[in-house]
Formats: sequence, structure tokens, C-alpha cells
Amino acid sequence: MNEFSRPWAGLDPLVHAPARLAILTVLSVVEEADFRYLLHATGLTKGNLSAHVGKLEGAGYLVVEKTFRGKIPLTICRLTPKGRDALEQYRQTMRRLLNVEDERGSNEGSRAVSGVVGAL
Amino acid sequence: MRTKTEQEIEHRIWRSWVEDGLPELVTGLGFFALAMVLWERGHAVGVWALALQYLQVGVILVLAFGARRLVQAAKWRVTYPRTGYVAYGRGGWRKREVWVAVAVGLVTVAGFAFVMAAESLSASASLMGLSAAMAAAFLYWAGRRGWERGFLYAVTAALAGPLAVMLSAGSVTARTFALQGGVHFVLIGVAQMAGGAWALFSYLRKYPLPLTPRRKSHE
Repeated sequence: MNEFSRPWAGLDPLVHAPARLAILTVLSVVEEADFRYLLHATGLTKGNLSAHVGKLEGAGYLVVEKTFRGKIPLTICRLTPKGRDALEQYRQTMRRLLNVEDERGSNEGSRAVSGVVGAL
Repeated sequence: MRTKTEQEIEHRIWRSWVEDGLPELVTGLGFFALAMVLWERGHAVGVWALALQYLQVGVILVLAFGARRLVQAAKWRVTYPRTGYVAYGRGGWRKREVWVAVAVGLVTVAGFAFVMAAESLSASASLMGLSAAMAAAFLYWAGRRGWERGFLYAVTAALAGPLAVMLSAGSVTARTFALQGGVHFVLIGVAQMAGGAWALFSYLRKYPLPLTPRRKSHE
């Protein structure tokens, strides 16, 4: 099997999920953000966001720092260099994948992949 | 290279920075203070005039470099408990915009100092120029970031210059320029404080303080 037979094989499943991709994309353009900001920015529920942040933290893509500001608990999330690399790798793979599909003239495939990207 | 999604997130972050109106309240206060300094300069003479001229430059510098800390401190009390804390990225986009803002600020200060020094220049024409430059700067930010209140400030800045000039038309002294400048900055400062206060009021109504676990347990 080569790249042309399974072009999506290079996609990182940890990054590919829409919720996790949204979290990574938001964090990629900021220095750091807290849990509440991510809730507003991604539109996820607390439980959902917590689960996805946990997965990304487990993979070493995020650093989660639990602290206090006065008496208020503060959970700050920051993208690690590994997470930044994973997101960049994902973007490159996706771009290559879309190009391959275009070259093949497979409209159906392109539409499916574009649909995934559009949903993000 | 930034994707459209990333650019949209950057715009959203910038909008979240101005959404609560706190930055405008602080800069509005700064413009108001500057107007007071100019007004004083218009009346003072001799050594005091020179001292106040330096103070005026100091106010502009504090406004340019210290306002962010003041806004950040206010945001920790008002905004972040409601809609969350976010720190801007250290990437090129922010650095570029900061450098553009600093360059524009320095050119404005230099122009202002030049007009103060050269009394032969037409005070009215200089003030009209400053007014137009400020209106253009507000228009740029309003258009670039989708900041609706920026258009209001642009219109205020555009009208403030001619209005201030109308108060003492024909005069060419630096003293008159200081008085006219005072009127000009008072109008912009008041417009910003009013816009900021309205935005803060709307923000507080839209995002009430979330219930803490302790408050929840009493229900």
C-alpha cells in the first residue's frame, strides 16, 4: 500500500476529531487560554471539553496548569511544541490529501474530505 | 501562512478584548487627561508651560505603553470570571500590529511636538490634520477587525477637529492650538468613555457571573 491507495493513513486521529481540532486551532493562535475561554470559543459542553482536553494532555499536545486567582480556580491550557507540530503535520497531510483527490478527479472523495474540513 | 480559520480566531480574540468596553474606558480617560493637560497649557505661561509640555508627552507615552496593564488588571476582576482568560499569541501578527501602533504613535507625538515648537504653522490646519489622522486610524481598526464602535469614534474624531477650530478660527499661536487640542481630545475622550461604558453595561448584562460551587450548594 502506498500513499495514493490510503492517503488518509497519515492523519493523526487525535487531531482529526472536530472538537479536538477546534481546541488545538484556538490554542495555536494564542499564548494560553483558560477552560472558560475554550468553552466559549469552541461551543463545547464542560464535560465534552474536559474529556478532549484530557486526551490531548495525555498525548502531550497540551499542558494544563491548575492554579488559583485569588479564591477562583483557574485551569490554563497551553499548546506544547509537540502539539504545534502535530497540528502542522495534520494541515500538511490534509492539504496533500486534498491535492491527491483533485488530481484523481474523484469528486466524491474531494467532497467528502472538504465536508470534514468545512465542518471544522 | 495562516489559514482563514486561524485569521477568524484572531479576529474573534481581538473582538473579545474590546467586547467589554474596558480598553475604551481606559483610553477615553487617557484622552480626557491629555485634554486637561492641553487646556492647562493653553492658560499657563513660562516654566510651567514647558513642564506641562513634558507632562503631555508623558501622558501620551503612559497611554501608549501602560494602558494595557491597567486594562488587564480590570479584566481579571470583571471579564475573565465571565467569559474566560486568553493571552494573545507571541506570533508575528501581534508583533507587527504593535510595531505599527508604536510607529503611528511616535509620528503623532513628533508631529505634535513640531507644531508646538513652530508657532508660525497654522494651528487650525495642524489640528485638522491630527483629526483626520485619528479618524483614519479608528476607521482602519474598525474595518480590519469588524469593530462597530470604531466607526463611531472615527466620526467623532473627524468632527472634533473642525468643531475645535470653529471655536477660535484664524488664530495661529501654539497657545490657541493647545486650547483647540484640548477641546478635540475632550470630545474623543468623552465619546470613548461613553462607548466603553455602554459596552461594559451590555457585556455585564449578557454574561452574568457564573455560579460558584459554593453558591450552587446553597440553592
